[in-house]
Amino acid sequence: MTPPSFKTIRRTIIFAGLVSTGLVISHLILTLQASEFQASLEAVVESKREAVAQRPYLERLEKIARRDREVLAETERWAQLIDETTRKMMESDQIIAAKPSFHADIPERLDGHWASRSLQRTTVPPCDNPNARNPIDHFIEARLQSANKSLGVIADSQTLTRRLYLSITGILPEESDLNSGPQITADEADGLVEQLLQSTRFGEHWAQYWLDLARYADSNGYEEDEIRPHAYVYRDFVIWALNHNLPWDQFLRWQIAGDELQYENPMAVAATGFLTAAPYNTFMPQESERFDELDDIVSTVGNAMLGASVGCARCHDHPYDDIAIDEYYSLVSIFRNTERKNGYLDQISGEPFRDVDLWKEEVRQILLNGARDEKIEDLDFTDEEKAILRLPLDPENQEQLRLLSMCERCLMVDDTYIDEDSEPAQRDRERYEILIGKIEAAEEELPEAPLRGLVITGNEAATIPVLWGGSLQQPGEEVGPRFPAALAIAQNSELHKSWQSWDPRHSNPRPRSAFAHWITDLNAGAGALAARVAVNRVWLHYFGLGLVDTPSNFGREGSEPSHPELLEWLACELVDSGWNIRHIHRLIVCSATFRQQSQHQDNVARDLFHRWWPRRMTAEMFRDSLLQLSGYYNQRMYGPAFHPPIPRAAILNRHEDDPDETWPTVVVDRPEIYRRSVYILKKRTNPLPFLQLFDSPGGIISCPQRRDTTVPTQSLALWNDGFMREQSKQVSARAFADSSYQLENAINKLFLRLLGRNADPQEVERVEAFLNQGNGLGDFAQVLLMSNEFWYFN
Amino acid sequence: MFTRRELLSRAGGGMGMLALSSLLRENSAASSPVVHQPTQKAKSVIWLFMNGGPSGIDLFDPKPLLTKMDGKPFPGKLRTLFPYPGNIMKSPFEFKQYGESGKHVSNVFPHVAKHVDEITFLNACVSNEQNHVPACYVVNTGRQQVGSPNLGSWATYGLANESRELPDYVVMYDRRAAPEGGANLWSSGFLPGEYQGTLFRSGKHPILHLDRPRDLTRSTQKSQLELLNWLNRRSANQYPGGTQLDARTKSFEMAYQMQSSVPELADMSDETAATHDLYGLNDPKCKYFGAQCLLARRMVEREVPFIQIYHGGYENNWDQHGDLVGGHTDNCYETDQPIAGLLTDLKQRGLLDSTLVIWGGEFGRAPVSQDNDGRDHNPYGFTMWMAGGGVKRGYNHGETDEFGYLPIHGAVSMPDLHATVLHLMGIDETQLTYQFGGREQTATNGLGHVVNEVIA
Repeated sequence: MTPPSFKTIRRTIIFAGLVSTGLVISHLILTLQASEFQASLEAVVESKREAVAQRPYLERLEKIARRDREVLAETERWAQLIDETTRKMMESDQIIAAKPSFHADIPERLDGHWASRSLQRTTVPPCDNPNARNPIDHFIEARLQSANKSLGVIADSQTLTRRLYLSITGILPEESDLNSGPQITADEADGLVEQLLQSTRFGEHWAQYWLDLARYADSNGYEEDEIRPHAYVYRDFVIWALNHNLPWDQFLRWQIAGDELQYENPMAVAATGFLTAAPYNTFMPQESERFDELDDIVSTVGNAMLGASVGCARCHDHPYDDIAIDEYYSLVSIFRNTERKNGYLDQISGEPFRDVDLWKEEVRQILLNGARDEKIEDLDFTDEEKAILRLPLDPENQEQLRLLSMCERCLMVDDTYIDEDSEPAQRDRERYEILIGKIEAAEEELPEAPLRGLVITGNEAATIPVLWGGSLQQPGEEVGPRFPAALAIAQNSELHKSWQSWDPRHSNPRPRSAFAHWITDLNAGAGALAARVAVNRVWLHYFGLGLVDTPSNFGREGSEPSHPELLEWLACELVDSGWNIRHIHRLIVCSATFRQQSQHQDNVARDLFHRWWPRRMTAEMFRDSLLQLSGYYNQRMYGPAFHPPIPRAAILNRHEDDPDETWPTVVVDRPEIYRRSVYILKKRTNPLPFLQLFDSPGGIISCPQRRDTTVPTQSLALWNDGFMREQSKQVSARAFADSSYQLENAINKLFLRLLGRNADPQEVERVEAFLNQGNGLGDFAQVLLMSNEFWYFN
Repeated sequence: MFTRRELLSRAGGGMGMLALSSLLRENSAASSPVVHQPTQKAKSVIWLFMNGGPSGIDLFDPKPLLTKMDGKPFPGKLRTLFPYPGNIMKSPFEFKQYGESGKHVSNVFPHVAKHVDEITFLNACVSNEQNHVPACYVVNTGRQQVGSPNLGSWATYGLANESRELPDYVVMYDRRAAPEGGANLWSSGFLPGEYQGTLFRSGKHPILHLDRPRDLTRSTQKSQLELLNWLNRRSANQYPGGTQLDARTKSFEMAYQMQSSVPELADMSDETAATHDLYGLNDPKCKYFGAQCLLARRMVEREVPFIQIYHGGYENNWDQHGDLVGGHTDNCYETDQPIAGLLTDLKQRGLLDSTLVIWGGEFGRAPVSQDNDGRDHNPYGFTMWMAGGGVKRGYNHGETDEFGYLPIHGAVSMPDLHATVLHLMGIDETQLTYQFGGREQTATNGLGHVVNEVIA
């Protein structure tokens, strides 16, 4: 009888454990050999149950299990809403939003900086290299030939398969995907490409690149660094958009103004999380920090979507590009009334449920006042003084000011003083009851899905003073919404006029919507620039080097494209295909250029794309592949971020002996922690060490391209981290079981599964010698997981 | 003047992995000429960060007018974090003059006071930010907005040292609680991750993942290393020319070594009883900060260039909005003997001349009272000090007004301070650039000017 797979055993135990005892089996059990597993199972469970039968531990476990169930339920509701939305969008023709109405016919712009000129479809050069597969190769070959070179040899099928899986889905292929004969044909490889691009893993992998740009994280940062429990709807929007191939222009527009453009569409609303993803100080924020926040929004939009460093014009005119300081503040004014709000949108009006938010705020104030009254009561003041303090704040009341200066901090109350049992002060009770009643009635009407933590904005156009030197002390003239002329295809006089007759009450489009349209507008806006920036990013993340090597800076200080005609051709392909970004992915991975081998005879400049340059896996790709190899991978998509176990010593504690409760202090083995890395909780002030060590950005500033750094602390983590050790053992145990417990077969299997190739006899011999020294198969699997060949894919 | 690349190639064999990976990066963004001036004075920096905002006017810069006007309303406009500032409050501490320089020091810093003749006091520092965490970012990065590289990151980027078994930029924080702002305080911002601060915790296992798990023996790890090297060499033969891969292979050798060299660094049992006493290790109140100071000295001996120690975290910090006397007395007690011990020890070992010790918080405290017995923040004119590493001895730079509120002359902004520290480390800040966000960034982006007056 074939023993049941390790994974099955494990899942069964966990399930049984949960059901029968409310416990989750400790990961310690899992270090047992698979063969011993079944026999000793019951005894172990029994002993475990006794060992953990202390109250606090049980309670914490139960709390975690309860939280997992809630998360699961929330995820299911959310996923259901995503499905419904997708279905509706497919049925109707809603996906392409109406073009803005205010465009004039303006001639093409062929002057100015190359990056913002009108798109000009370039002629594909002729090419007699028989290896060439599509026009990309023609462009690449043309430049190679001028350097007396030619496209390199196509990689062998095992290498190519591994490369395609990792590049498109971010996860290693399964063993069964590798055994497809000595050499797959190019057409077979194309078929594989199609399959991979259709897989949901594609969106999960490529979302990470965009989330890096969007400086996405799940907490506020700064002093309090509160968790944002609903930030994930934005992350899920990105995954969803890529998996459903949302047209790229729509993808961009929704992130600026999805709440205005399609307020009835949950995904469009979720998209605006782009604007609110930045760090945000909630502790006594100062006025200047509001301008930092606005600067972050404008700069990030500029960098990520347009490759334009507009932030450089915050203090003075842009030193290199033609962006004036007043144009910068015109952009800022677009977001002047944009607020971060936790709330829902009314699906009829598109307005946030402002009343509910206001009522809730009032309730909060009533409770806070109650808490404050109690604090006043405790002060060492006379009754008269206490009475003065209880009066509403009055800046004219000198006695009250004097008393306040003596006890101001003692009277500080915040939400921590309000718990479930908080009572309103007696005099406020009536008002309190009325408000609660209103909120309850309104909440019955609220949508169930968690459309929260989003930007929900005042829609009025606003003006803002130009701040010279970026300083509030040096305000200049007031400016209103307007777009930087240098980034647009045409000097946009018509558009400018439309702003002059702006009427905030009856206007259409509103400022953010107009900006969103301008960004993708090919006739009068920055659409050409947006298209060039977009295709370059796709190229960059396949090759590790962009056609423009400064992916977030297409300005004069940025690099010139290595292949300007190719960049132009790809941008035209994007636009002409209806902003079909997957078309660009397909073109690239089906090109001979992408499929070249790594081996090379001579050193040729990398930007000729003469061969494949080995690429290091990202931290996320490594972890996700590891989970797939160990069989632990939990494929559940979407929903709240999960809290992975984190070494105790890596928790930056806020209080002595009282670690940050964000992180689970009880390490329990549960499916939730084996989800894909894109779903890991990103806490800004305390990032997961493993991700941080391997160059995953912290969600602070827009990150166009990760730097692969090499430091010995990375090696220490791969060697000594408990998670790494445990997973290495599981990888080997699974391979061992799948090899019918034959050692040599298991060695071969590990080479094949981990490195995507067969072991040669010399290697098997060397590994056997290693095992004969008394080392385990798991120790060997760990070596492969640490090896250069595993991390750098060819 | 050399470019990084030239400098490294001149350094010859034994080039470390950090250097190598830096070289590899240079094909894209990071190409930075760095100037190792022969005038380099500080080989190491020890930054003692007094988190929460120590009160300069109560420690090093007494203002007689406060005593005279105690209890009277402040005569001018005052900006504080909380909206209802109280009246002028005299310092609750007593001051005495010390040393040849005659510097006034408050009675809560009796040990540090003995070193005033070694110290340059910056009496009019400016961070311009009322809120703790943004102010901490100003002090660490020059900007209140999170996301720029820490000074330590710039310094190590500029030094471009060969990689060794110890990190170039080490951060230690208060055992009781991490500072607010967390990992972003020692982040490398837009600089590559290898320049971020590495946390050193107290005890025998200071670096994360340093200890072998129980199921991994030393001998197994040794065999693993041999097998790993063997496999890496084979793949290098197949795909030659990957210097980054060689660097990666070496990093495992180095990690293996670190498992003995780092505990050796952290193990202070080879220090004499006199040294333990010197740092206050026998006093339960000073021993944690004292141990960190001693550890810093051991790091300086091992040529770690940038060390930051935070005293005070979310709790138990210098943020005395109330009970100034109690809070500052405790904080000073916990740090006084360790800091004095560090200065004494560095001096007697001949290391003070090449080690720059910096003391200060993210701002100072206001001349008026808050809640009767505390002080609100003052980021507009506050005290920091520096000792050793090429700065003047027994020197006062800058002055605030008679209330200790605003600078009159000699104001030092945080970018100024950064430019000065880098200068003392032999780095011309204006030449150390990194391409990011559409331009060549430098540590101060033109805002910082070396304070030449303080340089010996």
